[in-house]
Amino acid sequence: LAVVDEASDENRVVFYGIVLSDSKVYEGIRSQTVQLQRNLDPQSLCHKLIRVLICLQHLPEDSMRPRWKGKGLEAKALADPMSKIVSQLQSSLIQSNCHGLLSGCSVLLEVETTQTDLLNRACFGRPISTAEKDKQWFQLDMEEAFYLCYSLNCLKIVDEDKCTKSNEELWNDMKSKRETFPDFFKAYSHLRKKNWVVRSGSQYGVDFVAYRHHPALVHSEYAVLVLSGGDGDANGRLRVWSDFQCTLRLCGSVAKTLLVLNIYKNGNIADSPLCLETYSVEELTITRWSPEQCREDQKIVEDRTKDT
Amino acid sequence: MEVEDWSSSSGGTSDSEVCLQDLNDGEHCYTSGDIHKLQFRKDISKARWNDELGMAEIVDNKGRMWTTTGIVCRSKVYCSVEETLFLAEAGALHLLDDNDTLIPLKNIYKKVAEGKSGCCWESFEVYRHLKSLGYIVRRHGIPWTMEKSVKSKSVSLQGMPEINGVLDKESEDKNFIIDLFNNMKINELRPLFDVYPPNSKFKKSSPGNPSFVLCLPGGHPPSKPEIEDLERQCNGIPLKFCYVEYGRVSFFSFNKVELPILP
Repeated sequence: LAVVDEASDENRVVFYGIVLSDSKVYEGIRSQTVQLQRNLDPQSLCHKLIRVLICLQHLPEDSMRPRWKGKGLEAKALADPMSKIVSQLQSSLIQSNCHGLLSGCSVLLEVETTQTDLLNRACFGRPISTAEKDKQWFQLDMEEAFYLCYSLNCLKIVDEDKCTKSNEELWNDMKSKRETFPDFFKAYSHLRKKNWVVRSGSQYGVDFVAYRHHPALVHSEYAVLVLSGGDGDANGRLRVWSDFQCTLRLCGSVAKTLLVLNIYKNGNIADSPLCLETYSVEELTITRWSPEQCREDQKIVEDRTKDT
Repeated sequence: MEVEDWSSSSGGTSDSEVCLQDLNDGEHCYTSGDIHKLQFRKDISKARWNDELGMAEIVDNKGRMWTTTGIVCRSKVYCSVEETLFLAEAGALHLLDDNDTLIPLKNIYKKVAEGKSGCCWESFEVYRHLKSLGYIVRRHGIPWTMEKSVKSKSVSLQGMPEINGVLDKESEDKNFIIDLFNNMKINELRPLFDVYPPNSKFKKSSPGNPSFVLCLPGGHPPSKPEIEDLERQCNGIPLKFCYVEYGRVSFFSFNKVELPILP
């Protein structure tokens, strides 16, 4: 029933993953720890574990269960992994030797139908409605464009004179348009590399929203804020109570967990994209706790354990 | 995926669902009738306030709440100001002065306002909120019992140094007391309460570990170094933070996570 992965010391068992039934696998439960009494006999240990498992089914806002938008969509997502879609997009863009045009804080891209499909399925960019029938135009955010360009190496970006920009030039251009670009890009690529879908979070007052797969299939789980670890947080969020309360409340009302990504530059100056390798990312969620709800859940646990 | 499909489901309005979790929060401030559901009125205890200690000494204890309230010392029970006020507000305790005159509620509120007994108004609001829901709450670092032969570590009685002085019948080092009070700045982030889940079988002799330690940040949300410092202090017991404003208490926690790598 439970996969107990590691006993970190005599009193604690840390759960890495728990299989409750065939279809439900809770990943990322590493943050849940259970304190056990010393010298617990196997039967008591078993009872305790059962109680924890029942409790986990009734986790309040800590629950990391993804909310799929319909029956069969979870299976559909499993059958069509995001990593594969992104990889197909990458190949397709390389093959057609795509060039994007940097304009303001966006990169405009002219693509064929196959690429339209792949860009949509991988969730990069927004389509621009035009009268042109045989070509499709897309608008990419700076992070999206730089990711395709620098991380996936499948896009070239040109300036108005059709000269291809080097990664360094692009980096500096984007940095000059937005001071927080290095931190934001690190956060974006950190999540994308794990195959999460990352979109702008501005409509929720946060920096990004992260989805487990395409937004048509699943609701986003995380509202993401990017903060600079160390001194001088240029993003300036969560510094005052009003912002803290506001952000947390907003996330709660749209059923997303607030995820803070602390970006540590580790003393490196952001003068070239190579410095990205030296940055580290710390993931932190901020969740509200409701003592009223917790008490109700506790009662459910107690009622259920009477049967076990 | 069609272009139309994408643009309508990119995380726009279809994503925003209102969760009713927070809508009822406002109600709790005003339904004070619920607080007194615990049938206190039949069992009214008596306690005498000790100004030197900043605590109340129970003279006559009635009712089941004493299993989760007060410190036991030499078979006497002492309550902190928040424990005293909570019970007095609920009508479960009559507080007396040295002349055995009943101290009115107004004067107990004054004691909290004076801030000399280690609990400010906001801390009391948090205490009351959790106690009313049945949680077991203890000021952080204060033991449940004190054995007479053991000289208590001064660290464990942070906030109530006078106990050491009076009960051990030794005068406490004045410099130590001054330091202790100087360190309790209002805006400093420190552990406030140890919170245990509601438990009818709770025993002061073996309370177990608290579910979490509650901290009350001051003028600004806690910073990362502050949180890390507290985590170190609390030795693996989970931390929660609370924020009190205009009579509303909210709780939250910071959790280190690692998002899984998806297929």
